[in-house]
Amino acid sequence: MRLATALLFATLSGGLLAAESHSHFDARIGYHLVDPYDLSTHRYLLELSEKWEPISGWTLWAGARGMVAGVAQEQTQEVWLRDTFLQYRNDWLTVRAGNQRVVWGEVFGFYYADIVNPKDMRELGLGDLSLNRLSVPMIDVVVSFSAAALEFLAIPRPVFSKMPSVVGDFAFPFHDVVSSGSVSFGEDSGKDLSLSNAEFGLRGSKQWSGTDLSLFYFYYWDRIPTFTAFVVTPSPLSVSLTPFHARLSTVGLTASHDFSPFVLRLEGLYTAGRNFNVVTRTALTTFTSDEAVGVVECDYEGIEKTSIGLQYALHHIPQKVEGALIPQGESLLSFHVKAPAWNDSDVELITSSSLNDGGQYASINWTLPVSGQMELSLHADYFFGTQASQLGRYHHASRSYALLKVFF
Amino acid sequence: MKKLLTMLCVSLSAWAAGPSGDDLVKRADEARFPSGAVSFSVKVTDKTESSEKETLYRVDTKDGDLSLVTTQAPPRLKGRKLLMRENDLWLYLPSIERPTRVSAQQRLTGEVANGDIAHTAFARDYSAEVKGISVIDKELCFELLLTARNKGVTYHSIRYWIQKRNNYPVKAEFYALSGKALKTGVYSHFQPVLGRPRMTQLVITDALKPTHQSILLYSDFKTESFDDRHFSKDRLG
Repeated sequence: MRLATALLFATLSGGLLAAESHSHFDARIGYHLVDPYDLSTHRYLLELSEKWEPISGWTLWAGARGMVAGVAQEQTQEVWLRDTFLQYRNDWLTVRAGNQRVVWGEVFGFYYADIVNPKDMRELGLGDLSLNRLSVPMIDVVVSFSAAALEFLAIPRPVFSKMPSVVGDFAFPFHDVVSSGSVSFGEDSGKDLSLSNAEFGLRGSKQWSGTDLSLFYFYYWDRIPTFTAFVVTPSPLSVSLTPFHARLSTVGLTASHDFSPFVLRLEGLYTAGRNFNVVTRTALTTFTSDEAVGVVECDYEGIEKTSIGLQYALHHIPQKVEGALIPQGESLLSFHVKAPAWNDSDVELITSSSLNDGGQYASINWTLPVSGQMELSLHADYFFGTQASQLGRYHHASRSYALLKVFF
Repeated sequence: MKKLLTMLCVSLSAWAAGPSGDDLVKRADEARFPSGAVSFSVKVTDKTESSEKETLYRVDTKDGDLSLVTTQAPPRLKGRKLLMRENDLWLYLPSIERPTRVSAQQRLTGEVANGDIAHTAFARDYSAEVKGISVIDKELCFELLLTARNKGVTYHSIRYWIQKRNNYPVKAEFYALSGKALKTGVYSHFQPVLGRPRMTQLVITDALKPTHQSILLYSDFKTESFDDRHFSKDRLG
């Protein structure tokens, strides 16, 4: 109580050792690249983040986000609490308590080892990874050594990822089951505050000359639900989908090594007890299986101002189940290049190809710094492949947009 | 002719009996940055034919082996951090929220490589050999060839000129492994900094496009008491 009073008094009295602001406003408008070429995104987002250090070693962070999205099927006005926590740090210890994000992983893009925080998956996780990562109440303790660290975290009230709506561009294919009639989702915000619901993680990391290695364990609830179907009314047909989140244990490692000018990055995860949905012509069922994920990436940094990377990811489950939304083995080969362009702008190209079903994703992004406070991006996402392929099923969601970011 | 030969012999004998290349580089390092744990600000102005932009960094460094570079302005780039532990470099971007290993050769801004700001001592990274004596701006200078001690450093080799009179660095030409000239650096504005005169301006010019320049102004030097763990990869967030 004395500490809280001292922090509040120091903050209000203006006796700050340091204060920082990291805020931005984004305006984004875009259209579909496939027929009917209508509005795909129309979003305004304001993210405010402030940091105060009233007493040496103690830092208070406060952040909030407001968002208005105006596409006809997915209109939303939201205000979220972002990173809002109290931090204590000395030479060897960092303790953070409050709403925060913890990021694990080494490879470029996608969330393989980044399993701690829930994500906003309403746009499949595309775009700014930081914006899609949701802050949750957590206690995070990091003990630092000279070139190593040990981290322990606890999430007392788990929160789940935000999933696409039934009618959105990136909706799950449940209309394969209910071809006519309506589908609604049950409540799926998170678990209640209790010790039995709490999530725990442990991570150790070490750096040698040229090499980084981390090992981690996380005991948590699956961020992505599986569903069971419940018929509300038979005629007209109305189906309610009840979400279920399995209790999971994941062990993993991440590593990188500098073979200048190449950098090799690795991630490997093994998860026990994950549930998967199976969609057949007449039923929606689930099955339980362990899951292994391996990712290897090689980046080339020998060209000035340019980064080039090639990544191979393998997702494997031991069982083969007909109709499963996740195939038994899925290989994804991705390539990215970021290079300078006209007038201090840069161009980034990303392609991902599923080696199993031929589905592909490609994106191109051109960013021009208009000033020290403003940047303009022109961006396009395109999905190729058949409706049955993991990426081709989102072909209708292919889009291009302009994004203006103002930093202050 | 006899007089000229005498002068040359005197210069050559002075050079032969003088300090080694490595000693000269150590002395020039001291005239560039204070040793020990210090922090300072660097304002980088990148100029081309059509544009000019400024970036402000705060640098925490210890013994030339450990550096943490934090971008303070402009707002678009604020919060980016570059950590160096000997030859290992990590970049922390607020948009990614975790440190990523990068190479020292990657450019930070304009003509400035990550290592130009993060590495504050040549003596640790390069072995030096005195190649001769030449005159720059009417000053006698040792001309040295610096060769990288390992692959992870910013440049493969450097031609380096150090004033004979006071061992201040004057000029450097930076080369890639292929032998291609990358850029030149000119050291100037020696002013009292933490007890002795030190360089407070470095102008880096692209070897192929001389109109592309980065001007680095160093200021606000402070003696610090950083623990090694201040430079930990796991404390960048």
